[in-house]
Amino acid sequence: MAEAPRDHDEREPLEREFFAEAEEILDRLIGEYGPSGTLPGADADAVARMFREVHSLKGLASSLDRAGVARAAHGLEEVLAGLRQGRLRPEGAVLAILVEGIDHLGTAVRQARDGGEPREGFEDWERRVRQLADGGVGREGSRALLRDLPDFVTACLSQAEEDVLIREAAAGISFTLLRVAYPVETFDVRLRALGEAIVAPTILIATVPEPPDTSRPQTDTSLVRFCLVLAVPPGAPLPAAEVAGEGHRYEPVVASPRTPERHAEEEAREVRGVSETLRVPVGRLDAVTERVGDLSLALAALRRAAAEVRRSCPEDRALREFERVARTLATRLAAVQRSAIDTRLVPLHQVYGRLARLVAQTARDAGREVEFSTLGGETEIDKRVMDELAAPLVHLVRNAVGHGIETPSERENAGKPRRGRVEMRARALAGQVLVEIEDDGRGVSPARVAGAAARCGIPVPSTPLSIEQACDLLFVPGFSTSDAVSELAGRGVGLDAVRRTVRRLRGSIALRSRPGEGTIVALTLPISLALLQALIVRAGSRRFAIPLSAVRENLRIEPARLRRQEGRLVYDHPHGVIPLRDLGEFGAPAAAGPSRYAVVAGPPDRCLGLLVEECLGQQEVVLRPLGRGLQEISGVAGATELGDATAVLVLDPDGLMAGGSHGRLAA
Amino acid sequence: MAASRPETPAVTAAGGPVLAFLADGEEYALPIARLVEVIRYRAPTTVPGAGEAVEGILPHRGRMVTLVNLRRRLGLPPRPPGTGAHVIVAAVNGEWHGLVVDTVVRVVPGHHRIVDLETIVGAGA
Repeated sequence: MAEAPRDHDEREPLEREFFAEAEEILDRLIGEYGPSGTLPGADADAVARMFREVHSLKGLASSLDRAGVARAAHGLEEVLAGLRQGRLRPEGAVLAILVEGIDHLGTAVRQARDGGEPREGFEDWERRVRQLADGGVGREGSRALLRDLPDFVTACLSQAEEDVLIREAAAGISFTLLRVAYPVETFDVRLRALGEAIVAPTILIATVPEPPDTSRPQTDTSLVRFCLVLAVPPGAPLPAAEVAGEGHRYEPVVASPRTPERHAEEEAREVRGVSETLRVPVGRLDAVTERVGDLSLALAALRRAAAEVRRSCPEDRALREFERVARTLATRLAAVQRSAIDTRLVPLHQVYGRLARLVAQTARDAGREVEFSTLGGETEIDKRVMDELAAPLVHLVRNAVGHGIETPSERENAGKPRRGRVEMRARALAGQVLVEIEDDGRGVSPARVAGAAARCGIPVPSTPLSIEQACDLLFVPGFSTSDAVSELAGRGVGLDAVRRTVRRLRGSIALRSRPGEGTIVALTLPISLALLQALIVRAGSRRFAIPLSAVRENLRIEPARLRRQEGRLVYDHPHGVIPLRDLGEFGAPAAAGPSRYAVVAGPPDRCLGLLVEECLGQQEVVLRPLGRGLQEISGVAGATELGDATAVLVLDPDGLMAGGSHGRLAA
Repeated sequence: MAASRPETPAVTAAGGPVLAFLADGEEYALPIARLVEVIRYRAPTTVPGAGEAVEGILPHRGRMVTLVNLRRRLGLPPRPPGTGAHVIVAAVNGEWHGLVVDTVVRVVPGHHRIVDLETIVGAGA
């Protein structure tokens, strides 16, 4: 009987750090790689950024003996270095190797973490990388050159200048520094003249102001000094001495052998500071929340004690002051709790990057041309919601590309641009996040849906189907539009699975479509699983919390509208019949008199009235999960604590409805 | 292995420091290493559809602790009304469970009637 681990993750902190960092780097790589699946042109900056990411990952992996990851990173680094130095051109085969390398790197990271088989073709990929690399010369030497320039020069070089430098070095060109000093009044004219005197094949790569030499007494403050970096092919002319001016100096750049210390220092510099975020294990955040919970309970006990004292001395001033302070303290504690929960929020762009890549892949496999765009990547959502959301989003995006977007020729025939468009948008909306995936594809065709429903043995409500009915049918378990189970989107999982996940996350999903014009799938999700706005009600002697997002209205019951229908209590609402449910089975003893209110919850087509005696108010509550043995109980989403050390059940109207019949309201 | 009372597989003998407690006059024990803390019994919030031995849930230190009544779990008669009880909070598979016992008595080096937490809370095999 081993002791239950307190923390799920018992790996060494360094390892944990490594995998978190690796994932971030992969995300950024995929992000750089570009949504449309092509490296954005010969974007030198993107290549340079990717190079740095891969380089730091390689460093991390080597330091932790993660040979697989280090090898994949090394290969990628070779390709990126080639691109960066201009030895390789960002086209066809090179890009394919690059993209494949990112895949290999991802697999290697996952494999290092979870075990499993190496990705097929890794060795072959490494071989192709070597072939590419062998095509170029002097690569290491040219990078080393950067280190041989004075620090103030390298610090000032722009990416473009650096790239020219590396390209020239790779071509075997040697460099010379030209150091000049000009009077403050005329330096601009002199520099321009000097620039004009530098003629091909000599190239002026950069002009860098030289910092004053602090080690020597300042000779002449009226002079400004510059250092010009020149690429000088053998026999190429240099500006005449009179143009360069008095006191000018030529200094050839000599490659120096790199010492191990220097190497280590450089690697450290490159690895340092790649991430501005602090990664904290979720368990540690939970501990903070837990401790705040302790404090809240202690405070509640204190307030109860004070209330008791108050009964014997109701006029005590000090006591009144105490209560005021205790109230403030309670508010502040709630704020601390809130901040602890906020630390779990992550921006959606983390998942956007992966989806972009998925779109590119799916489009390639399905022979579609798709442009993927995203909006609102900065929108934040709970890490757990995001993790759970990954699978549904993958499914929806695959659907949009595989089922939504037509083939290029179909599109042309329909008078649409060849390239389809898939857009993903997110924004925060009153404690919730709205995520929409829109495509401009063929849309939902009621006729096709009816046919597919018949094939899947699903009854069709009417013939012909309305577009709304067709959209509804897509969510029926077992429904599939593809004739064969498609490799792309099929896999036996349909929109019903997506809806289940979304509902489990206390969210909702809606699909709108116009035949021939496209489809929008809209997901509404809570920003955090731990926090929710709830209506606190009393039924019998117990309190319950009902998520406000599910509440449609709060009815004051008119007894005349109550009646029994098929043995169930129902309410004749002006818009339809609503089944009522008392919370007796939830341990709320039936009230003496009839309930005064019914909280109507759920979507219009499947709603339910919960009988309550009193609405105590609306507040933000912290949702605590129940133990595993209790999680399957339908109708209960969890529990919360309202400051008096008693658990209050948080109801899940959707689950309550699943247990019984529900009503349908006219819109 | 079997204890003096012919009970369930929930009870075995084992060594190591244990916390001994009473349920219906009989002494049982739990390995100290498993315990989070012992608290005074407070009436929990019942949860519909929970197992028969589950009394309900109790908020404790920012978590929801599932209270399992040991007497009910072992098929013993219920506690006489008006008597107090202790809740032994223990971690099982990362979750906190509270074992409702009559009273905690002492810490001893070993015991012939160790309660198997996994079996008791239904999380084991």
